[in-house]
Amino acid sequence: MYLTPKASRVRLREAQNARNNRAEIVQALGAGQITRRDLIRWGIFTAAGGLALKNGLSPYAQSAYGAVPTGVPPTPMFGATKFSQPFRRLNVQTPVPLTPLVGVNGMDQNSQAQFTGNYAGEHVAKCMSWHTDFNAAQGADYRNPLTNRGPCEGRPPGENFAHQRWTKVFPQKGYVMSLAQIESGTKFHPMLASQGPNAVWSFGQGNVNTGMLPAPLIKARYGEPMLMRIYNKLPVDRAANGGFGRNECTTHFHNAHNGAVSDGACNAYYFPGQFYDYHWGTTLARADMAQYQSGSDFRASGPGDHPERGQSDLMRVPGDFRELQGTLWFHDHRFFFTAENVYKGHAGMVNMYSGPDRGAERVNDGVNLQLPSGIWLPWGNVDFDVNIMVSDFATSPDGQLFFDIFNTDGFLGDRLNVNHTYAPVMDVLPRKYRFRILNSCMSRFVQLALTTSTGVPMPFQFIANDGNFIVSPVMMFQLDQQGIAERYDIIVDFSRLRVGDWAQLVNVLQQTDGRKPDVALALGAAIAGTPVDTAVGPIMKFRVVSSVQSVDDPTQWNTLANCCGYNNDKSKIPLKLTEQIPIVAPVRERVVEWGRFTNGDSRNNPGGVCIPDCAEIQTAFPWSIKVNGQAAHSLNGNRVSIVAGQPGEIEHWTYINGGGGWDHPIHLHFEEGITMNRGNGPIGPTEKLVRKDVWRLRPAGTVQFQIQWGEFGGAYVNHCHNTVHEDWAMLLRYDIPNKQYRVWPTPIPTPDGVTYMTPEELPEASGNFNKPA
Amino acid sequence: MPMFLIRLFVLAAALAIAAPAAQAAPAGSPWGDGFFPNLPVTSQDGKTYQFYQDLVKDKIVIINFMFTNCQTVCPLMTSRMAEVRRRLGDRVGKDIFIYSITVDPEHDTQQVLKDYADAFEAGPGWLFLTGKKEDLFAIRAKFGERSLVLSAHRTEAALGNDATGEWTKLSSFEDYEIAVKTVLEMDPVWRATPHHLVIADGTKPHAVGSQAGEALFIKACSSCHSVGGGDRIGPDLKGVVARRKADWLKSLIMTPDAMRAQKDPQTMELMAKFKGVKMPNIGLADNDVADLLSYLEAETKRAGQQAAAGTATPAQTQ
Repeated sequence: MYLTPKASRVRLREAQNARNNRAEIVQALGAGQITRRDLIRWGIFTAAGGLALKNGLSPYAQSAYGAVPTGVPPTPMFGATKFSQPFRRLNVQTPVPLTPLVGVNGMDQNSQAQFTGNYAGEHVAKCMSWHTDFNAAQGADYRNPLTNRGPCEGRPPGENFAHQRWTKVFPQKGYVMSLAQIESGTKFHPMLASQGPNAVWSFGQGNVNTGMLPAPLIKARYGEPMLMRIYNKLPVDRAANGGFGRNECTTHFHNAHNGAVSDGACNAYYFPGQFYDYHWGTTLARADMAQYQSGSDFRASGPGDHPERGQSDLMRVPGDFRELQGTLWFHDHRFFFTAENVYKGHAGMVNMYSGPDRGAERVNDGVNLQLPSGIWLPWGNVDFDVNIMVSDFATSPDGQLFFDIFNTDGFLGDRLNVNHTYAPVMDVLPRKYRFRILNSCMSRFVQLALTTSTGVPMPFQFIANDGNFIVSPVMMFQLDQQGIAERYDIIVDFSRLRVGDWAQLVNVLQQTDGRKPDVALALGAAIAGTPVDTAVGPIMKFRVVSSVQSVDDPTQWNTLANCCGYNNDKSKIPLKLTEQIPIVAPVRERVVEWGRFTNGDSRNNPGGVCIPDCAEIQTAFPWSIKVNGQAAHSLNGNRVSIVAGQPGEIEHWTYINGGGGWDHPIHLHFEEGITMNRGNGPIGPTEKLVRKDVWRLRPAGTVQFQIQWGEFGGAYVNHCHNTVHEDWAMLLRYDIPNKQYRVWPTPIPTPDGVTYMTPEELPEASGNFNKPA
Repeated sequence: MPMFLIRLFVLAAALAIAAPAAQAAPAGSPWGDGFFPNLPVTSQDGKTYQFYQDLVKDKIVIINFMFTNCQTVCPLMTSRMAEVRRRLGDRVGKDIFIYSITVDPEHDTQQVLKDYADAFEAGPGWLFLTGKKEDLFAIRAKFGERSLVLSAHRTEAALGNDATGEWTKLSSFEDYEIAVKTVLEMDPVWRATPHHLVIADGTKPHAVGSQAGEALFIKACSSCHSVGGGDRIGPDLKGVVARRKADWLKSLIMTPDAMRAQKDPQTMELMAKFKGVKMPNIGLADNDVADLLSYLEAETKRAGQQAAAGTATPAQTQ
């Protein structure tokens, strides 16, 4: 696009002036102060009466494409300065116990889970959706109480959308949350505007009518399956969206090991007034394989409530401990609206706790890695284990959140929030901290470095990529680029600093084009900042103090005396965090080529003939797929492109970025892949042989990984996690077969209930498929 | 009628009556007047319109981008749009409008677009628009269509209702039923009315092992071709495998653009008969073509058997 990446300050002023001038002229015209004839005489109106695309009048006119980098004038800051407000933690959610209602035949598909406590009035949770009951009652009962239209639960009816492994991982803890308009008074900074009810839609706790920021945090543990009930409490009028976002939602638990029913990405979105029960079963991958049954390894476990009992406290689960997950997140996955909805506030994080990753640094039972976390709770302490959600934003001149829904390259906000807080300051003790850093932007990549207040680089240890431990920690001063949805866990030791010192987290990555970042600036230049991209620079500061009130137990204070220094900071950075899953010969290989321009073999010009528009022969098919060396296909459509293998089968996948100058963070749902290589390109220790679920392909890059299937089936997707690209169809569907279905019917949600349609199937999908016994 | 249905019906009727007088995008919407340029555009019939004022304001619109010289995806998009248009019926031209805007105005003059529109049986309410290059660029840039290379243009349509300020995307390859539903849902009155779409019975397992090539034919070919249902945008393919040489068929299916460039005589004949239509190169591989040909043979036989049995019906393609 002709968008100049480095618009001058003059341009920026022009753009803002244009906005103002237009507003003034339109207003003056409305008030009768200027006649239409005046305007035509001035030459700024077209003959038909529209405002001309003329410098100084249209903020979108070419010469006034002031655009850094949102395509509109910079976000007005209303005097808000950096590092003038405290850091905010994510909102930890409190679950309620679920009481099992077991039928006369014992624990079976008919068993139900009853909410207790504050949520005792809720419908029970069941294996099959309440939509099934609604259908059986021919719509006479179990109706959506808000609109009186369609069923109360948006989960599709029947066996297809029954929870899988319902009795094996029967839910024990229940959450009730609502997606709703933001509560009044919510700001990113005290000086910035309160966000209007339709500017931000986010999660609230319980069945409520308002949402909150910062985003929610769920503390989950292996061995304690959850039932997440999410109400859609968004405006019934879908046009009431503040210019972007759709009031239909579906929550994707990013790479949790769940059935497609609870993956939140199989087109089962639902409507205002309805809820959807997601079964977050905490199943550990490989749970069905004989060698990983319960008892084989203490590391395959979740923390109990009585760590003083030693290893007997662990809730042991079937599965391979090398597949344990840690830092996860969840977010909207309504096809075509994902970017708008996530940006609008539909996102949160989950910390998955396990035997080795306990969130209790003093528990020394031979299994716990004793990573920095805290001391007051038996598990899941977050005093020294901090979730950091980095997201970009832009606002209109009136300060309300803004999103350009027509942008196809990738929408960039020009400011960075940390936990929805602009440039906060966190008080830390001089000791070890773990940070779980998530890039939850829509199209912006970030690259973070840690420095002292004077800009001296500070070392830290990299321990996990996308929530998966690497085998041995890696010391770094600056992280790799972090694409959208990637999670990096690091450990920082502030004991190198003294009380009163400062440190800061700096984004060094300049990006002015939604397609890919421009360049990583040198640290000094990044700290100084650049007018080209105001998201570059320090995004968060740490102030070293001598005492901090505990967030795990607010009656306690963490101090120099009780949790710092050699004797009292008992947390560790072990030399070995997990064991390597070996790379083996695969059952089959697949190649998926992504990109704006594909060149599958069908793109060749076999006759060697130059057709009138030979240069135009590249086309806009978003991807092509090859399986086991077959010829490429590139025809696009909402179809099942890949039928996954059988449980236990190992495949090698290669992703190729055919898109030339673009970069794409590609996300494979459900299973993590072990990163094998980047073709001939370099691959660092934070990626090599590391399990991931999002890969930045790099411009013209290649990545190969090993993947193994198991435990669940259904329709999943594989897509670009630049959510703007995803919404523009960089998404392919793959189905994991089970005994019932080889290819799953696609749910078609309507306000009156869900119907199904049979997806079309591609020839290559069936290549190596053997029907399950 | 159950009580709830009556209630909903009354609600829908009330909404229909209470529907406000036509007005432009609601106050506060960023996507109305001032966002979309009000520049002049010319339709295939030679009429000139002010883009926002005459074509978008207060209407439900489907807007896609194409160029008639496109050898690949545009004809497929256009033929699929023709089917969506057919299914939307007489609402197109009344409150729903389709605009196909050329990204190649230098070539796509009014007359070129007229031939193209006729070939795809555009009918009322579907305008093919051309104009000054810079004006069209200003318009399409607003829709995120900022490609400078013709073939890099967007394949999906923008779908909007200016009266409510809502905009979304419509995939060119969406199943027709869903595409039609997505368009109708832009109408708040339609949304407020219960519609029980029975699309497929999902309670029964999906029939596996349908004929190879069938899905491909449905998705890629059926918007222009039938098997035994007569000529449509392109020729009826009943008996085509017997009628034509296999190599020629394969070349035409895989590289129709090359066949045109070579001025292959049989291709030229077809182009003369189906004026304005350029069969697209949709990136099929050898296996795809083999599947398609075997499907066409099987369908031809089936059509023949039905005819013999006196139950002749056009092949159900969708």
